[in-house]
Amino acid sequence: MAGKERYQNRIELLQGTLDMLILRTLQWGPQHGHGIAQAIRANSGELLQVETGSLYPALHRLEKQAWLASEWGVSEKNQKAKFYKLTAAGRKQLLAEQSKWDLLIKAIAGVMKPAQ
Amino acid sequence: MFNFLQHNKRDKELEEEIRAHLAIDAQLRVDAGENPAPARESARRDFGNVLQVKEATRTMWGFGAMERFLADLRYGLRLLGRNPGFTAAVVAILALGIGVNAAVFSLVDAVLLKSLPVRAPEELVWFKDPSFSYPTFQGVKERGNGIFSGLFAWDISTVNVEWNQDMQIAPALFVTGEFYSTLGVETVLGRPLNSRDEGLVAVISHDAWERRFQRDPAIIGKTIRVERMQATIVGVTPPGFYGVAPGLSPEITLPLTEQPKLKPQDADLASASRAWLHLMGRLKPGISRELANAGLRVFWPQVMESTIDPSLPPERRARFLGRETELMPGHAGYSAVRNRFTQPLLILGALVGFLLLAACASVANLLLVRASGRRREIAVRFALGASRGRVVRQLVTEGLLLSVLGAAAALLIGHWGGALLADLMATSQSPISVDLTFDWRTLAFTFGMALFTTLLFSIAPAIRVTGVNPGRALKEVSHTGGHGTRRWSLDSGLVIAQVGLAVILLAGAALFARSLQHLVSMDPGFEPDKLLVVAVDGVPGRYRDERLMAFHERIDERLRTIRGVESVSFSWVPPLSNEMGAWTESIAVDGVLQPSTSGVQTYFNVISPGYFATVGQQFLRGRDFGRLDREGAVRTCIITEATASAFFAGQDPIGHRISIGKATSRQNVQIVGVVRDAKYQRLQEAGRRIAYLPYGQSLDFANNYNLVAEVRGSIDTAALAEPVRLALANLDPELIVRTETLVNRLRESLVTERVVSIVSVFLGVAALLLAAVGLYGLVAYSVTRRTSEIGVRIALGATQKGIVWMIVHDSLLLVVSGLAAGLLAAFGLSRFAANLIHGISSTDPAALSLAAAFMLLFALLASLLPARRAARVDPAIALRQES
Repeated sequence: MAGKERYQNRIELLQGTLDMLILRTLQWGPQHGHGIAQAIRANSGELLQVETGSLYPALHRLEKQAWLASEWGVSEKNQKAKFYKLTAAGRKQLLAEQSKWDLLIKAIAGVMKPAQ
Repeated sequence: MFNFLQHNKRDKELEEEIRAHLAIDAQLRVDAGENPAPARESARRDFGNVLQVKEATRTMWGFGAMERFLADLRYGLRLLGRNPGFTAAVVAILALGIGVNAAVFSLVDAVLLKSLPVRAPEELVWFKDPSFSYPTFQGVKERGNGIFSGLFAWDISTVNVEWNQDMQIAPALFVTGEFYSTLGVETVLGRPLNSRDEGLVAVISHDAWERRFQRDPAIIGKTIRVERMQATIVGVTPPGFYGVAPGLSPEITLPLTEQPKLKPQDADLASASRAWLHLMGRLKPGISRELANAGLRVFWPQVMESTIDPSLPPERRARFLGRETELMPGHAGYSAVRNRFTQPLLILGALVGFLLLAACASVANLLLVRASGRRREIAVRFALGASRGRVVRQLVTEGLLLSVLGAAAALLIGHWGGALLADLMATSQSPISVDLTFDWRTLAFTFGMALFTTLLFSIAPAIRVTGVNPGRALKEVSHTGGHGTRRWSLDSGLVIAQVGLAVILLAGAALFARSLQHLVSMDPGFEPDKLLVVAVDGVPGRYRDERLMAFHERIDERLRTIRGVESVSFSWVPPLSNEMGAWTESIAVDGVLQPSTSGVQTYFNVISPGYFATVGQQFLRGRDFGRLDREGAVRTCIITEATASAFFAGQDPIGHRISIGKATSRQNVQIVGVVRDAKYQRLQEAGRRIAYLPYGQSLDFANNYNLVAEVRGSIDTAALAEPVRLALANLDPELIVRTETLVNRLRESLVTERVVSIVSVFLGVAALLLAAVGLYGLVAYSVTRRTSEIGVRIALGATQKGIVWMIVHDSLLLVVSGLAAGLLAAFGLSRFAANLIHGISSTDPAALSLAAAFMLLFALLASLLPARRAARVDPAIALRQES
């Protein structure tokens, strides 16, 4: 029954955005947890530091929602690692999050910079 | 359990994932120029608290139904552990309730249900009684080829066997050659019997091989002596195979064709009127029992027609031809034990079922009381957002936990109790050696019972307790006054049920015990104390006519010289013939077969002079047999009062002649004496008509049958057994002698009644105590809740007596309704046990009132104790509690 609990995009910005960031990162192909954290940090210009204590619960949560799938593989350094990849549902979710995010940006921007 | 394992696997995976993360991080640092050891160190530091990450990740997995169940289970276990007294009480009550059911069921299973350990037992059929003659068997075999793939006849009786040196009576199976091939049973050693066997060969049971020969591997080919004839052992049957009659365990199996030589009085292969065989067959594949029955009905009349004895008079001819049979399912074998025990077992089954219900009611009561104590906890759970179903599930899981614990303990009780019951029911003549090992059926039964009881006792309280309004329940916590009417009603219902069930069981106990008491104290018509029955085998065939008479006289003289022996007599069957059977004939008076009495059988026995004095049967009129009542003299007989009044109402029967049976060859006999009525076969029988013939005039009979001797002692008869055996061995070492006290025969003839009454008294007392404790709990609880009310009443001037009466009155109302319901049920149910109730009516008012009185007495005690405590309440303290 727990599986049917609706995923809710909480108001807590961090969690919601982290999920989106993860989905976005995986758009370019399968990646392991460490790689995802690295990519987010690099792409945000070192601004966003993802805590492992948020990353792994998020990965597992997204996998349970079936937006991600995982399998064991070998990293570029020939190390064993668990790779996550987007599922079709995950792709759809990413699109939804993306448009919601755009809307939010627009709205906030409208409030913050009414002059424009 | 699947989900649970899944969790373990996921845990391991998560660990691995984190390890991989650390390794990758460390490797990157090494690549950037750090040393491996500090690199690992900083990777770990950057990662943060591993445990915390794991825990946070794990919560994302959520709980499946199984995890929730396990969580409930853990919670339940913790809770039970915190109340060890409560847990122990509930588990003990459930173990008792389920355990007695398991015990009776294991017996039912072993005797009534278990399939024979043979190939495809479902194909087996047995021919419905009565028994059949050997020519009938042959007739069926000739004509039944289309139906049966195999057919055999068998008989079970006892033989005297000299295993090594010692002579012993052993149960023996006599079978036709097709026995083992039809059943598909192989031997573990040697070979089975077959149709080509000639001469006396024997297959012994695995038990006998172990017990008599210490598993001697070279047993095949050895000879033993059976009825003083050499028999060669050719095989040993597998363990667990006891033939086709569960409950009877033959040690030795012999060819039926040899039976006439070994037991001439039992078997006659040529006679069509000698019916002593049981028939069993295996249906051909694809032939249903219905089809086979239809086929049998076609050729059965031909079989009877072709085997009829042409000398039969027309009336008996018609009766012979009119005999019918039917094929019965034979997968569980044919069981004399089954016939003997079906009814008592079903009655015991019903009784233990009632006890289980009573146990459930009492556990439900305990749970209710405890659940009321948990209202606050449950209210908190609701307040925190638990759904009602979730809380009910938690409570039912706790109930299930209790049931399973109870069932586990019940298995022990069941195993031990089943063995005890089997022991109690066994007699020396028919030992029950049922296979009591627990099979899946008993296990399934026990745990099925546990599930059933869980539903019964935990769902109602769970639903009731969860029907609370959390707001009100939380507020109510410190409030002790006033009682919800709903709580009162469910509890009251349970107590009424408990009282009712206890009354049913007590009524059963009283009925069976009174009936047993009636049988035990009944005057059997003879003096059983200090009477020894000596079965002497091995006389027929070796002593005849005059020599036989002389031999009996020598036995008589010899036994009389033993100190403590007062008198000796001989008879065909001893008082209480029991397993030795009966000889019945119809009789005609003065040559006239009275229509009113035709069809009513008279029981016959053949006795020596002095029999009545020895067994202590009172002489009423006329004379005893004497030495002059022998061949050539006028044929005489002695009859009992019941016979006299049946045939000679009001008249003096002495001097009248009766003719025995319908065969014209029978001579008339003259009545010379009348004795008091006595039991012939068993104590339970209704007054039978008996006639006695002098053995001096029944030499043809005495030549062929073993007689028993009755020895009247002036000292304890058990002490006489050994000197008697020695004296007889001195006279003729070939004699086979068994002794048994008549007291023992009496006891064994009551074995079923005794077991049923022991068990029912046990169950009745158990249910009585459960009901009393339940009532006590209820009254004590209500007194606690009403403390302040009682305080007010006392303050306003109520007397102690008045308070006690008020409380006792309330509880007696419940008890009386339970009592009435229970008595009504007992009244309706007891007629199903009427066969086992002797001497009193199955609705005996004395027994039923006894049950009611016991219940009332205990109920009064159970409510007086808390009521008196209530009456001593100090109003000042009670009223202070209110605020």
